[in-house]
Amino acid sequence: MVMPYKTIRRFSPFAWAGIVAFACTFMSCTDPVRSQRIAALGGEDPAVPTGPLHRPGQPCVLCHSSGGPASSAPFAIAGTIFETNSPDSMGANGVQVLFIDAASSQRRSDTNEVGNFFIPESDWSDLTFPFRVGLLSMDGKQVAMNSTVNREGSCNFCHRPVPGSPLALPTDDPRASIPQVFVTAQAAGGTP
Amino acid sequence: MSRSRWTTGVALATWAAAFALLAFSNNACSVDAGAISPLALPDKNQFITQGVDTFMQRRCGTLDCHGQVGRPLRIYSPNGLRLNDGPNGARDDRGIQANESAANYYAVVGLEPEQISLCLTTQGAFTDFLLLKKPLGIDQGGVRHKGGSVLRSTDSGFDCLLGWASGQVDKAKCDDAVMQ
Repeated sequence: MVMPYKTIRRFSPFAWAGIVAFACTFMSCTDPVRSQRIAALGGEDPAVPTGPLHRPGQPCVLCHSSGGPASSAPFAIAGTIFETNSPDSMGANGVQVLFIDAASSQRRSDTNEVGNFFIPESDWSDLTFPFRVGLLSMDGKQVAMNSTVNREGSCNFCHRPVPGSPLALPTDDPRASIPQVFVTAQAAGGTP
Repeated sequence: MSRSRWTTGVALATWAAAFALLAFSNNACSVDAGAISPLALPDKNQFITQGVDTFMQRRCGTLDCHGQVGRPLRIYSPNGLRLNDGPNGARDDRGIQANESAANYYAVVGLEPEQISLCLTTQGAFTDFLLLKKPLGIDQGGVRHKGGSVLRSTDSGFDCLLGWASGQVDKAKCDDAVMQ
């Protein structure tokens, strides 16, 4: 059915704005792949308030980036470091995470009580991929990541909690992920 | 002409047309196997044993780049995407496996087989193909690469790829590129 020209002309600007907003919301302005990946992360732990201690082991930048549900606090790089490679490992507190990017720019972030660390996007807006990563624990253990990080700001995108961990997700694919990074074991571990 | 004879005639004509179409199709699709000359491609064994595979695993095959199932030029590696399952569905924690190296080789030569073959047959005079232009990125004289510029034409990694593709692989260059 073709809408008569006169009828179309009668639509107010507000009506047009509503039509565009509706189309944008339901047709084109969502990323279904990203939405599915966020949904797979599950809900918040009710015992942990939203903030620096929440969701250890999860790919932080998935939400903390433009267009994500936490886009008000975007991160350039973020992740989690564990004490051991055991499924029941705690997060490693006080680990220095050092970065150097392709433009030789450097940053440092320290892990908190649950092992989380993050660099706000505002602190490294000109981050140039690829970048390299090194860790230094409080007891002097050093870990250098063998390969470069080429595109992904979420360390936990590749480094997934080991199977059996309460932080592991049903969608984790052992063939397409590598185990959690840990630093306070006798030797460097979890390096890609 | 009676109605039944007319119907029979139409049916026969339809069958004749179908047979003619079938014969035409068979002729059109037949291939003279002798007329096909296989492409000369860079050597698979050299790719695996001379460090080209190791270099690509390390520099291209990370899980956030070509170590992803959905990405072109899929690269398998012990520290990235695995082709095989480990025991009981766990991650395969062995070193690189033969089927993974073979898959990496076919991914690389399958990217632009005619072009990389031209590089081999011209002994490196022809370099206008994606395997060499993508890692350079636009700012290094290459083409757009989602991962940006990851090599310079003066890097040992570039020499490693060009050397192998042109049939003059230099293992020292590849080993050096792995360490960078």
